[in-house]
Amino acid sequence: MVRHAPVYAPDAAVSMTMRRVLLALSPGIVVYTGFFGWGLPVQLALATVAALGFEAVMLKLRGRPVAVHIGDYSAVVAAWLLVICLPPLLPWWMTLLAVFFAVVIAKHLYGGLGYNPFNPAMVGYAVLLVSFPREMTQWIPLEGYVIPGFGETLAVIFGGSVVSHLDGLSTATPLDHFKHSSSAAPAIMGTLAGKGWEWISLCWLVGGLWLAYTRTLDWRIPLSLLLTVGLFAVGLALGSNNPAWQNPLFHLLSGGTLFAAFFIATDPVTASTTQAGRWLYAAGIGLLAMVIRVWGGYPDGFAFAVLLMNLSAPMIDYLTSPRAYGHK
Amino acid sequence: MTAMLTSGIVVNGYRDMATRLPVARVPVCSELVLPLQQHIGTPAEPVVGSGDRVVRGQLIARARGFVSAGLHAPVNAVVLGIECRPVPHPSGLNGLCLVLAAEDGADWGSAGPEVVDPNSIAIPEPDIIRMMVRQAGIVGLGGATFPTSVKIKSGMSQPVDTLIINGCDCEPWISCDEMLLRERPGQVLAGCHLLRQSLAADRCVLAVEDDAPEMVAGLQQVIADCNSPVRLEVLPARYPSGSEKQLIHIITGKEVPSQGLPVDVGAAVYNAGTAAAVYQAVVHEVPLISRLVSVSGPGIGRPRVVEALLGTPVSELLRFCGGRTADANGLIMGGAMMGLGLASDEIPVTKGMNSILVTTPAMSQDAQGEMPCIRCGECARVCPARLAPQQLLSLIRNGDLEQAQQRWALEDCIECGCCNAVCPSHIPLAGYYRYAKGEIRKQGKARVKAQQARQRYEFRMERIERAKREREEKLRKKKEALQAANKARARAAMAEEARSFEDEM
Repeated sequence: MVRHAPVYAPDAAVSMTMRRVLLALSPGIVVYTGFFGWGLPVQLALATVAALGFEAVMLKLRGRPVAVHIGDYSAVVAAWLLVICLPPLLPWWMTLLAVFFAVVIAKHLYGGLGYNPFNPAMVGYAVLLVSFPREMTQWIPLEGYVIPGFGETLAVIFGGSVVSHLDGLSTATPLDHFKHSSSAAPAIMGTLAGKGWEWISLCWLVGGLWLAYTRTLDWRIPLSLLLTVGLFAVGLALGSNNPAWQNPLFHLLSGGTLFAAFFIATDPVTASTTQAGRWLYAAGIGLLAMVIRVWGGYPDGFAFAVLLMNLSAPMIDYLTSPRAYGHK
Repeated sequence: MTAMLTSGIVVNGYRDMATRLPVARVPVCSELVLPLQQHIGTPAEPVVGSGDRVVRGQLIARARGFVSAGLHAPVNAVVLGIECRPVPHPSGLNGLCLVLAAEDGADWGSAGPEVVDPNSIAIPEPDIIRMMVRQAGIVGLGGATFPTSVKIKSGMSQPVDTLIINGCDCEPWISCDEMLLRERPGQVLAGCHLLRQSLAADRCVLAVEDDAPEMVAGLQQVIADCNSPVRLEVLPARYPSGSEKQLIHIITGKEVPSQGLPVDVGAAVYNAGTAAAVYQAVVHEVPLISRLVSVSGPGIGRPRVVEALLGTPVSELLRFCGGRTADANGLIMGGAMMGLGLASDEIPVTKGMNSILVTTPAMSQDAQGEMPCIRCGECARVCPARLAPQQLLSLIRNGDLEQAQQRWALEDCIECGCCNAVCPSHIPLAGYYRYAKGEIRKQGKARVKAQQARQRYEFRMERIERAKREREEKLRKKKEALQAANKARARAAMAEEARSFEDEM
């Protein structure tokens, strides 16, 4: 067997890309856990096991070599991205359902890694948000409540028990709260986007910048998305009477803005692939998310914004394909 | 601002491997094998026969047709015959070769002066230069092997403002241009003058890459010393800066139109080795009988650039360079990105053989199996032809070659392999494109064939129809004539009868 060129040792691999994403998520997960307790790590473990299980079954059913493809970490990445968006004390079966929709429906039924038109994590999230709106908006407030311990967390997630002092879980995200309140959002850390959330957001920013630095993601996507949100927020601050919208920084640091910019919109499979297209694609997500945030019925709109732009990505690609060398 | 390639990739060129030892000549071998097809175009036609005695530099096969190149005897020798022998070709098939037996004591001959003052050489008329280049059998020595005289001719018919001499060793592991420019810069500069004169080019640029500092410093010195009008352009090392179309864009800022030629944008590119060969042919009247070959890679004992007579077996080059190491596992003609795998080392050095790369398993040890495309877009970012590699891949996999060709410019792929190198899914993208281009050509040929068959069929049917018509016509005429004759006879008979009746009356 004659071997032709190219001969070289490749320095990129799908599994490495995925492992880098997991690594970049880690600081945010640690800080998240520090603020809100064991909910997130428990959910992550649950979702990881479930995702790998679904992945293995689907690969087997599709007749693909399980060992080769399960080692690409793509299912774990989808599961982690999904869980990070969910309230940490969600009942276990809801998490399982979301992972099922993400891995089985959104990913494998559309042809598996590389072929899914919709972001699997956002499909799982959207399914829960539409089906269980009450549970999906029960976030742990940091003030006035004791963060549940490990045992308590397990009891809530798996036992369905409602621990007495958590009875009145906050049903409003900070965004929801500010949207309907008349008080101005104070511009200091800790109260800007809801206690704890700015620090977590900054961790996403750090992890995301590292991914951009290592070329794991295309910097155009987060930059375009954040610019769009920022410009929209400045316009809102200038043009709106709502005191909650007066500080543009609020929109960048609260809700899922940074997380979506660096970890959700950058999923290469479902994003636009051309350079010009990525500017447009991410700007579209930022714009739609802000429209939903400000005028829509949901407190935050990144999931739907991402899914809508996923739908537009092939057309954006087609329209923004570069002019080949030597062509007019 | 420095001109540079903005796409492509930064790769380790391994420039320090084959450049530690000076260029050396491989001793004359007892048997030399010269394929009749060592260039793009029509194969050369032998003008000597079995048993003929030939002397060094004698024409042994002449160019046939316009796009072709002749062959010359590398040493004093006796023609053994014209035989089918293994040749460096992707098909792995044998090709017709002139086989020579070197005479006892045949040698390289005296080496021409290595140091020349490029400004002092006499420069003949453009047509004379072109004719001498044609008679010397010179082809593009960068690997493309297009007959140089034909290229000069096309440059004469349209104005050329920029002559570019390509001194970038285009792929990793290849060092023959670097060693040439280090050891014989005067020859290259003299060749630049001759080519520039023949094309009446306004300016001449010598392009090299910055990963060979010793060569760059030497060239700057030589150009300053002889006050040469050649402009040295030192490009940041980036693959594939040495690709013709890309180099033209870097130097002139112009893009060669798709399916067009460099002269369409007033540019002409010649390899540095070709320029030196032009100098040898025009000034010393030495035809192309040898070339520099870079013998490199982790699998060779003493990597170096050698000068080898055309027709010398590759095995001899390997032996001269210290032989293969124990873990050597393959031979590649050309570079690590685009080279052609060789099944055996029993093939001859040809005009286009710029490099022999001896590979080891370590060179590609991390290569895993192919994974699904995750649409990361890295391939599009590095593509020097600005194609959409992903779209092409999915179209080719789905068999939609027409769309790949018409909407996504498949034919403009230069097969540089940058997409392969950056693909995290390790998809052999360039291989898919090469396959698809071949398939499109095949389909085109089949279409032409089908059309010809249809025309033949239609013509035949028409001919049969015509013959039938003619036959019927003839028959009809005959019948009419017969009928007319019958009628006439009947009439005559009746008249006769009437007459006889009248007579009876």
